[in-house]
Amino acid sequence: MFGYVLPTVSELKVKEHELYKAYYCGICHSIKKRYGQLPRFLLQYDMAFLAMILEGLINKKNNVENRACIASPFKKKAVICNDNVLEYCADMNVILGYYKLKDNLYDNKNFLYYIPISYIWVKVHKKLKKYKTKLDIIETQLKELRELEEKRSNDLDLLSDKFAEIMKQIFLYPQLDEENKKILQWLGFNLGKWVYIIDAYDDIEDDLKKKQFNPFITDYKDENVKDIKDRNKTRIKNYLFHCLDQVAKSLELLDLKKNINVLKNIIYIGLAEQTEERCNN
Amino acid sequence: MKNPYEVLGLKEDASEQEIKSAYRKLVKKYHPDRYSDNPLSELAEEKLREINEAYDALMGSNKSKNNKEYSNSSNSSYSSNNYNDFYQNVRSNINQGNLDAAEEMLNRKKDNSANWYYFKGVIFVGRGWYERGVSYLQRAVAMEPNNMEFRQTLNRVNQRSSGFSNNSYRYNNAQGDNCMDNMCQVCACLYCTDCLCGCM
Repeated sequence: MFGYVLPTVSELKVKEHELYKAYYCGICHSIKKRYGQLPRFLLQYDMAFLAMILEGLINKKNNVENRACIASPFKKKAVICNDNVLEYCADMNVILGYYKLKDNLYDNKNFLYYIPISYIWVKVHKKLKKYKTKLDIIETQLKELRELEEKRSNDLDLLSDKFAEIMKQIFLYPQLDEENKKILQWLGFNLGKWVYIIDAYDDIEDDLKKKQFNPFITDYKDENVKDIKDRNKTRIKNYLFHCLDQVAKSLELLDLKKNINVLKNIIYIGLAEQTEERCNN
Repeated sequence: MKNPYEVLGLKEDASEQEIKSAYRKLVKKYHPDRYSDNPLSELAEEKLREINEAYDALMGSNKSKNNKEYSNSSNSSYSSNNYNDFYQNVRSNINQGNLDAAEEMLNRKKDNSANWYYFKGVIFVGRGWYERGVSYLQRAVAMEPNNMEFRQTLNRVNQRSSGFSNNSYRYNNAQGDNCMDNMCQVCACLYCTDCLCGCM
């Protein structure tokens, strides 16, 4: 579900790539500061995207420091330091990671998942109390998504809508003016749709094997992967590019003071190329 | 008002040609047609207003006729015989962003007319339910093939995905103008240097 929102590194300038990595490291450090070492395994690239947008709206300069890194013991790494934005993104990262674990538990019925789930809950539930409204909405959407999955729904609009609403909450950073909040919500919503659909499409083979729910499978017994993918290629091409178009248009309305090139690379090249790959395969 | 040079993305010593070129690009980018059927249409209109103001400030009284052309094109400018009060109300709810109210009106009165499918389609697209949205709009066009508004809306919505799947559209937007300008300057400089200096 995560790790799709990435730039095409070969099209980034070296300094832009370094900047992007510094944001990723910044969130990692923020997770460690707030929740300790172990929740860092939940770190995702997707939140670096959000951090770059929020920082781009709020501050003109990037505040970078060199810090020691657990993954790079001999060399210090450049890390973005801004407490408010990175703290928020770290919290959102942990929330998404936590729900992803719960989702895995539900799908695989592997009780070992209870170990990280309980550990994270103990570490984070106090600090996340301030996001109660967000968490309630996210839990409702997940519950409704699960119900649709149990019915083996093929309704792409309805299914992707649930995850889109979750991402809308994630992108709703409280310390923004109403205008920017509106833009980010629409951006997050469409990004959520894109992620859900592309993830579901990628999971077709796996889900067919394990007889697990997938919105593109209609006959869990007799169909083969190639037929399912051929049948749905044009459908997802239209949908995914439609979502990306709206993400791009939202980004263009934001008054970003910095980080623009990396963000544009992610949307116009990174995400678009990933879409092309699926559709022309 | 914000610094007009900043709004148009120009340096303070930009020439008249550069101002006009930047203005045209921005107007195309934030054109209401690109942001119609979308919850951000008002914000795009505001941005366009800002751009027009900045252009006027820099060019003096040389107002562009674009100013008049791009006023709220999400309101259909031509009348059709089919429209009655009910659908006028649905339309005005949609234009004001009250999708819930418009949807409720349509749910209360399902008359299976082309208008009904059209406005349902527009609402779905505005909510981000693109499959349903396009399907309802297609139905409306099929029921009234001569209705230009229906056709234009469907085309605009389809344009969103077809435009984005175009490689050159994406690369132009990703890099913006800076990259191409730099490349032109580099090539031009190399060419001139080559002409002037025999050792190049």
